[in-house]
Amino acid sequence: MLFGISVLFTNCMEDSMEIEKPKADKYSVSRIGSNEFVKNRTLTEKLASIGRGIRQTTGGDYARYDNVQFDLILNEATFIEAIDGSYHSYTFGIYNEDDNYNINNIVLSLTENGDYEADLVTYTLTQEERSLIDSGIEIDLLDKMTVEPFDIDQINTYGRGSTCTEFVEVDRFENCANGHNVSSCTWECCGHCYEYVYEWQSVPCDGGGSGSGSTGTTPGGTTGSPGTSGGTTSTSGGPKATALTNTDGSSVRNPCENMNELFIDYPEYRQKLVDLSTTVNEDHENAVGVFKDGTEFDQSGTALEPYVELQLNPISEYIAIAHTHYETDATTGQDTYSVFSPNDLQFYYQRLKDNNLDHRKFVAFLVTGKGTRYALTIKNKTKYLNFFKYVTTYKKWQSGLAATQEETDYINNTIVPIFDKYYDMEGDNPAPIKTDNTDNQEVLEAFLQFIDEADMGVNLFSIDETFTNYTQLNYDDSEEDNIKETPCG
Amino acid sequence: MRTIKYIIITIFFTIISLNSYAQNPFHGTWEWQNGNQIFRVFLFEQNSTTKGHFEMVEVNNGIETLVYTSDKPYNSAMAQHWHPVINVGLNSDHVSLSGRILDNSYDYESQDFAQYDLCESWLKMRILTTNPTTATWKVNYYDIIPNNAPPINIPMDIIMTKVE
Ligand SMILES: [Zn+2]
Ligand SMILES: [Zn+2]
Repeated sequence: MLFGISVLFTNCMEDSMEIEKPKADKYSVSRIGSNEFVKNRTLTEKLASIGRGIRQTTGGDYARYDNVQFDLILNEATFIEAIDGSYHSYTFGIYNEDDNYNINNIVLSLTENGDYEADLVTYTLTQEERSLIDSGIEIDLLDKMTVEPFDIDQINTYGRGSTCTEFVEVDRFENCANGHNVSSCTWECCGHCYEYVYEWQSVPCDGGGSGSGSTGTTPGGTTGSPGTSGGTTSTSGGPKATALTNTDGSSVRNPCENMNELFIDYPEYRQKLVDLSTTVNEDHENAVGVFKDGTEFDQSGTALEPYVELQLNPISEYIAIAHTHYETDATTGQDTYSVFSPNDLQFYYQRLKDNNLDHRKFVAFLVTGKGTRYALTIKNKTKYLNFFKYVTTYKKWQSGLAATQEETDYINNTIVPIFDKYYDMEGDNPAPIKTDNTDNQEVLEAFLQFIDEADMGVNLFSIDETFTNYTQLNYDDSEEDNIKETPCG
Repeated sequence: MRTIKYIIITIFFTIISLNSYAQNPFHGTWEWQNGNQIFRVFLFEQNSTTKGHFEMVEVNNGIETLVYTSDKPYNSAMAQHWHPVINVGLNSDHVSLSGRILDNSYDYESQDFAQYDLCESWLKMRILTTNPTTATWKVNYYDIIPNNAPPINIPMDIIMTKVE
């Protein structure tokens, strides 16, 4: 938590990834990791002042600026540099938590005086356009872009005034790095190789831009056609350049999509789930799942060993893991939780972190001896990784390295208290997730509140006994029982 | 109105909670003797839950030597000690408790441990009807665990006696 807004640094596997040499030889574009740009002090100071400038919303919401919720992704940036070295810019992704399909970027552009100007670029997209982009298919974005100078608290040294913007597409990339085809290129293989570099200039509105490209900065406005050179006087020096910088898998999609796709691809898996749910009174846990390469697995714990052991390093990524929480006759109502346990969630975390789980397809199913059936999906990978990062701190302790004060404080001041608040609470307190709590509704409410407070980036669903109908569940204190139910269509 | 209702509920539950802490028969020190070794568990109230640490000592001629303790620095490079590794809550029957325990008793910095990940287990204790100062202690892995979870090092199925 830096700057009072949620600024996320996560470890990036590829610290520097050359995407492509531009065709037009005006710019070079690369994907860089935070370890490279944190050394740029002017840049990091600017990022800090952006954080200070953004208004916090009340109610623990994300900060907002110009109706964009702020959750800046600082672990990676698209670095665009003029071949002659006279200019460069950094483009950062912003997680979009709003109910639309837009992509927002913050662009920091080098100015003549060595400072950076900050602009908010919005790509206003339909669901179809967004899903094309998320699957790596190129679309023309020029008429979907708007730019807004990020102009609060003197973050930018130039005046905001009444400027208009012209966009020009200058460079185009035919291929991603490593010979990947543009149309099949995804975030994971190439860091999302978006093939266009867009330039823009701020021009006085009344003078009008040359050509047909002058436009307002409100979303929905049209911009100049490709190839138009905005040659008028700029209020802030020469043209600035950016490229679409998508966030990692946080796309707004139908929350029920993962289940839909799973049962289309593996129709017989539904029956396996039905069969699995008949084993919840055995004295051990069972699991059935699917790997991305289509192979399935089936695991049983041994009698009176309450756990089920799953592969750490599977040959192919996990896309479905279903497991049981059992109740035996001897101790009915006391054996297991009716919701996902900390161990379950941590197992998904470790596999996700080790790239052994594809969160864009993944569904975790849980069926319990207390009669509950849930599905859980990871809608925001960065948030999920961020919450469970303490598991990585454990690993650091094992390695003999000193954890930072921040890492230790995160465990003691955030993780321990939040688990205390929701799991295994003492006696007759409200909202306890306990193995002996047979009030499934109360436990569900606590679990929903837990994932909400943890900002874990997951969706939870209840399931009917045929595993056909799913209902999304959200914590919502405006509802009578604090649970908002949204059936999947 | 919502706020007022919330406060009333909070106060109400706080009273109940205080009440149940006072009655928590597990808070205190528990021991299990095995030859000249004593496994000791310390349970106390914190954050509206029951927390705890454990240790194993060896007794020779009345002198105790520490075999392992959960209340140790996070590692050899750090001075700060482990947060309580036992996180449990008294069940509504008031004679059993359940929750989670992290077995950190290993020398997990050693090369032998590098293949493993520290992993939480569940802990269940139940007071014996025959003797209220004795209780079963059961520890085991639960739920989904990775296939590199280390073998559990602490006692897993014993009867402990409350000593103070
Ligand atoms: Zn690629
Ligand atoms: Zn589980």
